[in-house]
Amino acid sequence: MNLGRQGALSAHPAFWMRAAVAWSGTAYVFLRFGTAPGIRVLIAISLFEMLDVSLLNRRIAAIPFLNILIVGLQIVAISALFLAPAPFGFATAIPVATMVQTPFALILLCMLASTNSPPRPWVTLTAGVLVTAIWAATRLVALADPHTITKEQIVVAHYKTPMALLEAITRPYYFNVGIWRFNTGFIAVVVVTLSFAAFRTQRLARWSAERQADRDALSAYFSPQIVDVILGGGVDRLAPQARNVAVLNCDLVGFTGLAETLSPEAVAQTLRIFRTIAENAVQARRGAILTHQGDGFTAIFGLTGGNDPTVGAALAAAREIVQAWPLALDRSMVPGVPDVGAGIDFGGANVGLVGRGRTLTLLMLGSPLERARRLQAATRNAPTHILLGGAAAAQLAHEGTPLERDDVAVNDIED
Amino acid sequence: MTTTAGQLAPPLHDSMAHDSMSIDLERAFDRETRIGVLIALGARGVFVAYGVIDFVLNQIPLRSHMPAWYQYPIGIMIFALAFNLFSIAFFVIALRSKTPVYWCFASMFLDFLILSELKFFWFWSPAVMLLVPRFIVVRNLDVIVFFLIVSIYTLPMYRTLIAWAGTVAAAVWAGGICYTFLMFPPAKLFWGTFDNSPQALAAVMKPDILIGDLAVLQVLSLVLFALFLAIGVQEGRRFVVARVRAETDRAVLTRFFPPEVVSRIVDTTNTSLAASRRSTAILFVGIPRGESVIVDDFARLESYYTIVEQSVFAHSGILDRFDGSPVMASFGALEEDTRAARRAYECALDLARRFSDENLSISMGLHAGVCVCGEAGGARNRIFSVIGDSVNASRRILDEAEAREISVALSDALLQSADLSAAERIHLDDLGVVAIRGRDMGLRLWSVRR
Repeated sequence: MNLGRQGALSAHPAFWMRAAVAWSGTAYVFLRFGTAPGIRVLIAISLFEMLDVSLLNRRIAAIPFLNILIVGLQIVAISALFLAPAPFGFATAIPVATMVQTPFALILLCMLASTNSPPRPWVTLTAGVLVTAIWAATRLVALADPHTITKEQIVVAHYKTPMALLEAITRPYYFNVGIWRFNTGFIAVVVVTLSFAAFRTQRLARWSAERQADRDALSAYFSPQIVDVILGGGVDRLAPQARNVAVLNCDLVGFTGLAETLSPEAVAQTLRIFRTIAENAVQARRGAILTHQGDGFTAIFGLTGGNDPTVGAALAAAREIVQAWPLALDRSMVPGVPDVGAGIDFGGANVGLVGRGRTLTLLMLGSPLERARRLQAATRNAPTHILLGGAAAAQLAHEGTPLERDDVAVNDIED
Repeated sequence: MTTTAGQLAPPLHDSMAHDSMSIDLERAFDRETRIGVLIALGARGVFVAYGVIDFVLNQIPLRSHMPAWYQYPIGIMIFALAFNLFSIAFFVIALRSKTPVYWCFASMFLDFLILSELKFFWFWSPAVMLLVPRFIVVRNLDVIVFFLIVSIYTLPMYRTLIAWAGTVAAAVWAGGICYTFLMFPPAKLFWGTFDNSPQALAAVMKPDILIGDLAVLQVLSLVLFALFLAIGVQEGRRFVVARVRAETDRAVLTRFFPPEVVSRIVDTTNTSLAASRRSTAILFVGIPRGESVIVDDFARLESYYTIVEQSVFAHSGILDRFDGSPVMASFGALEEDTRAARRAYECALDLARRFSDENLSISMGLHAGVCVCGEAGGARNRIFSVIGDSVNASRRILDEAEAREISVALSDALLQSADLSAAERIHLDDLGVVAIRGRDMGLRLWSVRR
């Protein structure tokens, strides 16, 4: 059984795509702009890729702070390529006022989008804040350059034609603070949106896992149909309270001794068959398997309310098990057929679900539990496979279900 | 009687369990998509409203004293208002729709249609605006607005929507650039390299020159951005499914196995739950005596179980499912453990001390022997069982301990396996050979002196 790999994520497609884009970009710069700019990009991309590969390590990926640090360093490496002076960056050759018109910001936004795969909200948010801060810092760098021209130096009224104005505001040293502010705002909103999307995915995962924990815990007791009903109305509807329930205790008589002579796999296989028959018989009648006790089990009927017969259902389940068991048993693995003994009783008990998620547990406290166990033990010396307690027999009559057949005896066990 | 130790999660291959999980997940994704659609449409509406208000309050007064050609054409005003009305309409319709995501598609197409009109002046603008090339929007990175719109459509967590948003955004942006290039005959395309000198830059950076690399990189960035987001949504869905499956694997295991054993079972392939015969120590812990309140008080019962769970797990034991009756714990049932009996004994002493601190009187019965241990579940439940005469015997020892009001009663077999020192044996009282139901010879029992 390999449970771990079934829950693992495969290698992130975003990693391979980032690598493809990074190396294609490097090749593009080499081909279009020559060796010197190409080497600068190669250094930055190599650093970027080394950091990216380190994120594939499960131990590193499991530490949020390291994730944030590595993605932050990647952003700084790419930003330095655009904003740092030579020899590392291109800022000396191209004014920052022009540099902000390159796809620099768009590349950072693409990097940010790739951090959402798989969703890591705090990484996306922190990286996004860094991207916004770097973009915001370009204003300081641009305005520090004495050659920079700003909007205040452009008087629109002086330009008689649209083309004349456009000529003035497309010069390399023209820095439009209004546009810069506008873009800063948009970048910040993109950051918030992507982080929010990642948070929603995380929250959905957490909520779904909690719901699955509830489902798994309930599935240990109830049929899938009843689980759906309980989950639809909330587990609170089965909160502990006094209820009248029928209890069925069933056991394979003498199986423990037989198990000493069987192979472990034969023991396990025999139990699997018995438990499958038991689950089907009980859950088909809206009963709940309270617990499996080795080669026996205890089931409760009447827990989910309604007007369904409780003892009638328990008796029908017991009959089905007694009849189906000899037919289903694998005779090649087990010599002889261990008898099934079943005790059924009825009465008031405290029953209900306690806990949440993984700790959701069906508990029952009350005398019918012990009486059914003793009735089952008494079948060893009884002429029938099924023994009914006095209270159960009375309830059966009340439910309008006559015993009719002679496969059941009544034994009034004292508390 | 025999008993089990641990009821595990439904088998992963069980189609019924998987169908239930898939249905739950599909419902969860549908609900998140619906909420995401409403958030996306709402957020988009807020941005549009902000744009219109900003335009009315700031842009119109600013431009009123400018040359006529600089003022915004009335067509753009109409578009902005239509934009806003559509935002409200889409939100209201999506709120009532059974398939709200379709309205997100409609809204997305309309967004890019109107944005392209605003950016590139296709049809509604006065002719004077077509006299100037719109390459200024390329220079000013107006494409960031397109990035924002695409990112908003991530919120419904619907991969196809993002893929379409990215495709439409890239197509509209590329189409707008091509349109303005074709509609402005003097426009020139610069497709080459320059030497980065200020003079060379100035020669290229003209309003009628379209820098090819810049335009292509913007379109490519938009495509990449949408692609990364679509992958992110896809991976996000896989992340949710993986988390739920991991929960399925872990949930019930956690209730019965110590945490480190759960991790080993879930994370490695080395730990097998297949049935095998092992030397196992069994400990039965009874319900507290003389505490009538506990049989009615589930909260007290839960706290009792919590104490048992903490101690058993601390001693690497495996727990049976709690159901309201005495609790069974087994030691050495999962792997061969020469210290299993010792651990069971120490666990019993630890429990006795803990319950004594809580002023609760309990009895415990311990025995050791060979049992068949392993996974043996039904069709819907995986159950880790411990089957053997030792289990029956330890339950009978518990009955004996309760009858005699002894805190810890243990068999001679466990005593030998636990390899207690002489100093430790001083605290034991010999109860002699005691008749046990199902045992012809009886069992020699010992009790731990309080």
